[in-house]
Amino acid sequence: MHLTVAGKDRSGDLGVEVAAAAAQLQASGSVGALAPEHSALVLKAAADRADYLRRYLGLLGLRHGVRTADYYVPRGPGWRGRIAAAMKTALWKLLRYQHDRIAFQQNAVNELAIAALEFQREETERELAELKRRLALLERERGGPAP
Amino acid sequence: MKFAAIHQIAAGFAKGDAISLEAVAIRDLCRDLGVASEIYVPAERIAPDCRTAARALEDYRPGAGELLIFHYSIQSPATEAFRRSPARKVVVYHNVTPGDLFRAFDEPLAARLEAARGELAEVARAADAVWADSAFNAAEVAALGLGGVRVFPLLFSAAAFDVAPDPVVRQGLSGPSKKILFVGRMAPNKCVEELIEAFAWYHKRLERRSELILVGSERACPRYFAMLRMFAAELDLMAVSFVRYASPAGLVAYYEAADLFATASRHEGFCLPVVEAMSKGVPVLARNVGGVPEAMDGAGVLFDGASPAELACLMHRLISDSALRGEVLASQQARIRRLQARPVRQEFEALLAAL
Repeated sequence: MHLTVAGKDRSGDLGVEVAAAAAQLQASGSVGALAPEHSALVLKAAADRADYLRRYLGLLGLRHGVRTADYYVPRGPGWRGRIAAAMKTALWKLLRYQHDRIAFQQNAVNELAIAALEFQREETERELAELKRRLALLERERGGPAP
Repeated sequence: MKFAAIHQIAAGFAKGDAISLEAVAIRDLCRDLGVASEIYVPAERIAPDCRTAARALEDYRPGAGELLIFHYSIQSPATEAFRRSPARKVVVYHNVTPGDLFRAFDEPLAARLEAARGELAEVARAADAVWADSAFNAAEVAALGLGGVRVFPLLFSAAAFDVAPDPVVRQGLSGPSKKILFVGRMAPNKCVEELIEAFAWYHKRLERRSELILVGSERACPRYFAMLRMFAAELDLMAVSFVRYASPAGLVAYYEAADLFATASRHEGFCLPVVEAMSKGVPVLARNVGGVPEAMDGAGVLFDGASPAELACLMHRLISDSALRGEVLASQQARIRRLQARPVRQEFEALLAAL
């Protein structure tokens, strides 16, 4: 890593310190929840807008659910923070008891909506392919491209 | 003054946009010199709240003895107007983002950008002079075989930020969390996803009470923006805010509340937001690329080749290490003093005299 601070090259001291701290962080695991092939960043490799849409719908299909299990409760400093965090955790477990029923229904609606989009895209592609085939046939019969 | 009028044309006009701000600054300079000056932009590309600042390109009628300054950044009807104009002509090259960076998200836009790059040599040859707003941009024009490109660094007007911060925005930012700010278009060359990933490390491992505020329009590339939203969601980052529009007063509120300004952009002709952040006393962390080192001019922190975790640790040091922060802020204050002392009027008059 090259680092310039206030016009001075600090790669040799600050850069080394930062790299060591980062290595320590990385040793304790990653921050991403998904495998790289399921990450939104695969969209950067799309060949064109059609390919983007295919990839996007695929990724959307993996993300239909509202997750409730891994809810993070932030902890403030000191004993007050610990008590508040304990209370929030207990409260969240209680709320999940009811909330999960609603989340289940919402997840089902999301999944059905995504499937509908996918069906619509497939149908549009099928119709387009059919129209292209018939146009090509007509052009062959005319002996040249349509005006 | 050797010109009866000095008009400017550009592809678009919006509040806060770097090229629009520069066009306004040049127009004001011209008027101070006693020369009539207007800004012309294709009517459909003038933001609704800017209709008094810019006029419709369709109304541009060149007269004898006039100068036309063309701010070139993308393919637009302004290019044809520039070609046709019988006035003396200057093209100001603000850089054109390489189309390849957009191809995955919007191939028609990528094609427009490539076309604009392809047309640059012809547009430059049609001009009596070529100015560039950074030495980096000047080198791109020179690489096309054109000589005599003059550097006229992008104008920064502190007065544009001399407004009271928006009280509603300020209220929303009054919490104790550490705030990392990015300002710029949500476009693939800005590599905002790298900033989000670095922030994930910072927020989850180093400072839970923190937020990343991304201020910028998504209109340039909505598919890229969708990817960013999806990426922030998959990293479970509720602390990332996407602010699609900020008024000048709103922008001031964001700058004033920020603990750090960060950008991981991989292509910049100049990068005005780093100067804006410096003028508001916010430490700047930016990738050492393109025209960014010129915009920083020996101030702030430039990085290169950093992993997301390293970037997160760097953010942490810049926010929590008061000695380092002080050194960075002092360098930035010196940079702003140099900018304020810049003899803009003399530079501009010298450029005009050379025509």
